[in-house]
Amino acid sequence: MFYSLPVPFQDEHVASVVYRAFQCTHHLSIEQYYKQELNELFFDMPQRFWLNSYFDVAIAFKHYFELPEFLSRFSNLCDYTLLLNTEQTNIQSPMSLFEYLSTVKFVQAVNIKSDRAWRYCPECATEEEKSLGTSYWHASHQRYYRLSCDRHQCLLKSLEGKFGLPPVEQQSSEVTTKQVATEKRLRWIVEQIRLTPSKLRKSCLIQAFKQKLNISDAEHLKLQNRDRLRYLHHWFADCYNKTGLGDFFEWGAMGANLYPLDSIRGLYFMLDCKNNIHPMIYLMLCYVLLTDDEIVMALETPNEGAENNFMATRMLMPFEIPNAKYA
Amino acid sequence: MRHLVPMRVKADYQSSLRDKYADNPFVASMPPFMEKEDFDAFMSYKHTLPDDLFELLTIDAKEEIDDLKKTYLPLNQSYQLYEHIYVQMRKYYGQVNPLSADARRLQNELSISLKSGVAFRQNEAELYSELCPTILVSGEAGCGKTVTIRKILSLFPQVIQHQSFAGKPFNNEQVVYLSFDMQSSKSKKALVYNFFAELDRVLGLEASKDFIKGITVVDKLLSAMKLAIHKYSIGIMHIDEFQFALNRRKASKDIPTLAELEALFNKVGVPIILSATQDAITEFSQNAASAESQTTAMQSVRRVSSVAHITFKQWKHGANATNTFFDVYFPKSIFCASYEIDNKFQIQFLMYAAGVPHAMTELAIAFVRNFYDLKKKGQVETISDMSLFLAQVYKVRMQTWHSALRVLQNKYSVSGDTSQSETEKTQAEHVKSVLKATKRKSRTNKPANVVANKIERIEEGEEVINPDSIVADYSKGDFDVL
Repeated sequence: MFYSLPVPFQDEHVASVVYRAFQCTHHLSIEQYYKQELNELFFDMPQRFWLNSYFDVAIAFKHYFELPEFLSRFSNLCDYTLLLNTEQTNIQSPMSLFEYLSTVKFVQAVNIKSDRAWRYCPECATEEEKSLGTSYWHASHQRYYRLSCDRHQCLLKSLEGKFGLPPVEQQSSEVTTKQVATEKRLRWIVEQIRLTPSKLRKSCLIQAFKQKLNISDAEHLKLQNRDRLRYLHHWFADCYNKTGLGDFFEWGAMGANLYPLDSIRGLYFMLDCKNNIHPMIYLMLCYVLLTDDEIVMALETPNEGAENNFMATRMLMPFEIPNAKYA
Repeated sequence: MRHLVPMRVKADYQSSLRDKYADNPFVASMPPFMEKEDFDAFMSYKHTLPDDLFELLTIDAKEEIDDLKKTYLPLNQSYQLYEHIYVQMRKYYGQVNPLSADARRLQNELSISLKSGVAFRQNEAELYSELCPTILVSGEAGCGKTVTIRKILSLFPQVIQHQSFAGKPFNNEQVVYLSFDMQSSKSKKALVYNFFAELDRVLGLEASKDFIKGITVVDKLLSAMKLAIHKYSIGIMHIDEFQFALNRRKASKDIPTLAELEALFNKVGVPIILSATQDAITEFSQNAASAESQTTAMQSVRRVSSVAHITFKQWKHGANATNTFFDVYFPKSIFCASYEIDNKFQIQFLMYAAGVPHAMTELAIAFVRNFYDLKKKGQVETISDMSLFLAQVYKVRMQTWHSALRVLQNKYSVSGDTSQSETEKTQAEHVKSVLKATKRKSRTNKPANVVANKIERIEEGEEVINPDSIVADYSKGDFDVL
């Protein structure tokens, strides 16, 4: 699709490489090009995948990088495979994994603020324009669990308007202590999840959530438990509002009664491994429900030769709901 | 052969470069500069007729004779041109290091300008103090301008594929040179289309589809061309048939002015070779000022030849290239004894072809073919005088050339003015007088010797040509008409 692609800069997102190549070889705008030539919609959000374009670029650079290495270094696609349900698919190669990824529709993705617009560090953009002649999108800035730039310790800004290269000469804002702490803990959780084999991650976490909430899959059928869960989600929403997670997520009218944090239905939907909810929702649940020790324990993998029922033996202390009415 | 896609060459970087070029992959990938001896040896090609020419099958022998056309003899101007091309290309690539911030910045600016459809400004050239480097090559048609330029350019790989430079990934497709024609039609767009057609050919891609498909505005087309020049790192461009732009008339507003072309190439600063015919240069130098583009004569002249003006002249008697030409086309192994090529023949030959290499080649090949035919038939003894034989070949073979050559023959001096000997002068005058005598007969109302019962008269404007006279010329033919 694109000829003579520029070599990615350090930490450059593949979308940025595609865009720079496109700009130098096409007279159309990229939105027009996707609509007219590729007959596809152009999504100016990092949560959507221009996978065909990404693969073209990855193949063009196969002399320099292996495909998995290229995609993990120059894209944020690996963030979306963090807690992907891949049990029912026949995924044998990175290529097939990403092909599958392109078909997945994440529930509640629209409400993840940090994944809705391309983000950049104003300081980085200005510096790079001076030193390299062009600003570019960093792959690390597009991670949905990130709020700030590591180099400049400033808040990432979201692109407003049409997709293009990051604007230069923009004012940067300082990141608050609360934001730093939240981001630091979320990054730590992601690191812990990555240590676990990808097939076990989701089931381990969901098992831990169930134990912590003291509910089972069949429990929603019992009417007497509905009151308990209704109180639970009220407390849950309150707890969420007090943390620094508001920078990552916002409530939306369209998703009423679907959020795991504010509805029973949403909670059960999330606790079903088959459903693909945006991974940031799981991270937020980890953040709110589990302590660091509990996360480590939940994601612990069985040693070689361990018994198959290892999972059942791990027990977390159920969450105590400080609600007099329920008690 | 130009329709074939040139091979992509993997970049081979020179290690010993001046410090200022050491970190530039484009300069490093240029082939090493050749000294004159190496250049001449590399460029020249002399096709030798086999000694056993008359023992070969006729078809093989005719092919051998036709292959004489492949002969190329470099002139002093060729090396001068090579030097200028090399220097300008290296200087340009030195300024557009693809690894530098400025190159990326310029590319971004050009792409934004293309997409926003910013109008192409005619006076843009005035914003830049440095003139766009231009090499003007002029000469009579057939003097070998285009062939020489394209042969010199072919010393450079046309498309270079870069993969890594100085141990780092560097993915780039570099088009070192591009050679295309100035449009002859009254359309500014045609220049852009010619450019992109040639770019597509050398890249083997449909690059133009993405750059210009659907664009109808001339300004945007020119912006797309500028961006493509930069994107594919074109090192030098050759615009052939530049006479169409040089003597642009007021009425033909669709052909770009010099100022517009200057503005087009100046921002990117890519060196340009312009080749134009001698008569266009003469006319241009007499009337260089253009009220339309508000340029003075000096400005216009500087623009077309800011680096050099190289003239390809008609070949003279006694020059090295001319002597080599006669050695190659009239080898002593074939033209010996009473058929030897002497000075008189050479002068007559040069006068006929007016020293224009293309005409010389055509005439020589026709002569050798006819000589071969007669000798093969055993009728070579019928050639009593080589000069007369040459005159007959010229009359039959070169009749289409004659009207064009006649003007040049009148002005042509067979030798340099100062060194022309009395003998040469006398012989040249004699040939001129013979040529004058071969002029068309004066018109008459009484057509003579009508061979057919009813001959249709061909009218060309007011002129009446007697078709019988043409028939008569051919009917004399002991000579083939090639």
